[in-house]
Amino acid sequence: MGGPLTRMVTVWLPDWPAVAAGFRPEQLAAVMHANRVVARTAAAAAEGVVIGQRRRQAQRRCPDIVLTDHDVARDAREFEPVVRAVAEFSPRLDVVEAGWVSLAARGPSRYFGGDAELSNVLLEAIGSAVGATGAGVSVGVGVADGRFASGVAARLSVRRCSPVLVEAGGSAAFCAPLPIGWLQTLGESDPEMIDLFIRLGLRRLGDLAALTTSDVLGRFGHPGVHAHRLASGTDYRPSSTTDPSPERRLDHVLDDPVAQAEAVVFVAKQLADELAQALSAEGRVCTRLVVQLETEHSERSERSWFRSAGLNAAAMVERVRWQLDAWINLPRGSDQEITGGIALIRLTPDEVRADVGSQLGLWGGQSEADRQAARSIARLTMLTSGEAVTVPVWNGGRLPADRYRWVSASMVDLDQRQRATSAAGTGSGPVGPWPGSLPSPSPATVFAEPHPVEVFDETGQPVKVSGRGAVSASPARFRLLTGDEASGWRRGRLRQVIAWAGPWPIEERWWEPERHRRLARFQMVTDDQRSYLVIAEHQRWWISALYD
Amino acid sequence: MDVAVRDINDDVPGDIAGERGNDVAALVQAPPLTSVLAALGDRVAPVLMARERALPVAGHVTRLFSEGGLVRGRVLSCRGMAATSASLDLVAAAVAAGSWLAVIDVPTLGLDAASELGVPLERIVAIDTSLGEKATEANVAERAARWADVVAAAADGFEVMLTRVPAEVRASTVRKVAARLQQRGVVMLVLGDPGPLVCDGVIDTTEQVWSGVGAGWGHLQQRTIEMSVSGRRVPGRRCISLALPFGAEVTPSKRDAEDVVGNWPPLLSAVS
Repeated sequence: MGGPLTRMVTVWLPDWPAVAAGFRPEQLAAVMHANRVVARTAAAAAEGVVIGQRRRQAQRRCPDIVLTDHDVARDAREFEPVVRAVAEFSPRLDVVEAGWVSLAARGPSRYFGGDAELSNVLLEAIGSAVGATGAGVSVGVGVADGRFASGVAARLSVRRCSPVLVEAGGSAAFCAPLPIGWLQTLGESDPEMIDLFIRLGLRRLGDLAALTTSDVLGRFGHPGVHAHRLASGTDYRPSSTTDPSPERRLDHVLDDPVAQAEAVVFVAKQLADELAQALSAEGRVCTRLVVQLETEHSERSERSWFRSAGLNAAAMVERVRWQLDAWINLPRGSDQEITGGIALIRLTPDEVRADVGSQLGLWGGQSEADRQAARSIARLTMLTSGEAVTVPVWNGGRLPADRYRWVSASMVDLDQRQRATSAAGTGSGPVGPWPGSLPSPSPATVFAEPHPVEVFDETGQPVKVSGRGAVSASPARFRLLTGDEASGWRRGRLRQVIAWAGPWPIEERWWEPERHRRLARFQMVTDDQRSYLVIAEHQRWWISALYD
Repeated sequence: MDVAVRDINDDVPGDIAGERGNDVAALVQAPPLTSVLAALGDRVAPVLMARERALPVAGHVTRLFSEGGLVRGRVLSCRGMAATSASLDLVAAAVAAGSWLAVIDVPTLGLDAASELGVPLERIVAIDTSLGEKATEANVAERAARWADVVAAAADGFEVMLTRVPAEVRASTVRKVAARLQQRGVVMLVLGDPGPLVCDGVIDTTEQVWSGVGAGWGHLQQRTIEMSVSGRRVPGRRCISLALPFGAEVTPSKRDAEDVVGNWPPLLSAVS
């Protein structure tokens, strides 16, 4: 790919999720996703909490740490002031994700008298934009030829605590001595390929760049060529080669301006589906999408979103949602505040490239049934609410009610469902070991709220389980309790227990006083051949599930 | 408009010659023509036999259905001691083959059990029509109406549904729902009391016998059940014995030979 590279500035705030969650840098706190740290405050970093650490490790390093769940929508919403501050310098900026913005350097750099001056002004502006939520947030600014090199420079700048400037034409030399893992860090290549590179002895970006393109293509296919191109300091440059035709732009004018975000997102989803379908019919994928929203009072919000892996329909909708959320949540009285319903939605693919990376197998991809279901899910969400339509996600646990979590269907990418239900972030899926869980078969009915019961032995005495997991006598019968403790329990009929097994004691989260549980599980079969999963906890008995 | 209306209603097209001066108007009114064609298409469409319209079921329950599977558009009620497991076992093959399963108002569904019975969890979507409200005297009618709306909307995208029918739902609403399911070719399995909903078949599970657990030892391993189908669209009553969760059919003689759970001497089981 010839042609001069665009000189880019990348601004990177590594711990943005922690800032967006409202933590001050001096607080000990971290943001978790799938049991791993995704961001932490400066104070937590000083204690040795690093990104990618497991929950337990982070708590061992720093017992007082406050942990909170990751919320991408919140990050994007809170990021708006920073985007607006950067947009003062150049309106053409690309938001890659919350905490990561890149823009073309040439114009603003000339205006301010050089890259160094531009970086300093940017740092100052971002500092004052973030100032409201917390001072001392680390910010990296990198200037280099090409998006990848400037991204690397911005990350190095965080470590060096000063802007990193790579002189024009020096991107290849700058990248060469860096470890090849940077490709993974910036989300350009998948971990398996990086692992393979390392095992083949390609430890530095320079080693990969030294190979010829045709050899890399022959061995690694298109993803390998992409990595090779980045490593050689020549960025992927689709905009100059394939400019999307203007008729690709899709807009929808709402005759009746809508004030509900959900309704706007619904319209955006239709547009995104149409756009993604039109592009994929030509074998192309959009890497930069400009989203324009306009209200009935002609207020506008325009953002350009970049994703090097390409934006599918779900990703486009997600970005519209972020942009809308950020706009709606602007503080009252600020300029550009939203005052009316949305009247126009416009999606413009600004950069497209040939879709080489994600060619699915003959039997892969979406079937007609999948598309119909996705449409139906959108309609059901409109009909009920976002929380009412849910899909299961593997969570892990020893009790049937803990093992899966229901998450809102509008929050997940339905194409990626297989990964979420089986091998989740913990590494072990339902097929993997989860020590201490009950063997199959599993109960078909699981109560979120267990039902209280009384369990008696042959002589009619209540059965007790000791702290060491010993049972006082064999359970012989039990009866259900309904109602509540305050108004007195109503007792059901006695059921004879003809077979039982257990106790299987478990003690969970003993390191967390408020979530600590210690209980024993039993399986009981009654004389009518019904089976129950019964648990004893705090000297009381509960039916937690039925094998029906 | 006149021309179009006549086209639909009369077998003989009207006297268009008399309105020849209006050719342009007749051309503009093309959409009604497409609807005529659609109606005609429906009339001449090849007749699909029930067997061809059936969703697949796992091999061990095929014998239960004379059509060889779950016929689209039917409502089946699942009852008995193993109703939930039986319903999951019946839908597993269809969902594995690519259909989506809507679970409406069954918040207690055990996903581990579903997964063990072969239902791919990535195509399960749960819908809760209560919207988190507690059931009160005032909102039961509203909730029943919402259940009907949700089922009707889900019929567009899901080929299999698992639901509980709210007791307060009105018979007229239920008839509309059933017509919608029939039209979209959705198989609905109802847990619990179907209320006013007329079921095409009843799947009953009886004679459950658990094995693997005794007086303080072992763990639940397997059960044998009798699964039977009867109902207004089922010729005769069909009945099979099954071992769940392995799905292997048990011959009656073998099952009879087995002792009732709990009466096994502990020593013997320790050896086996």
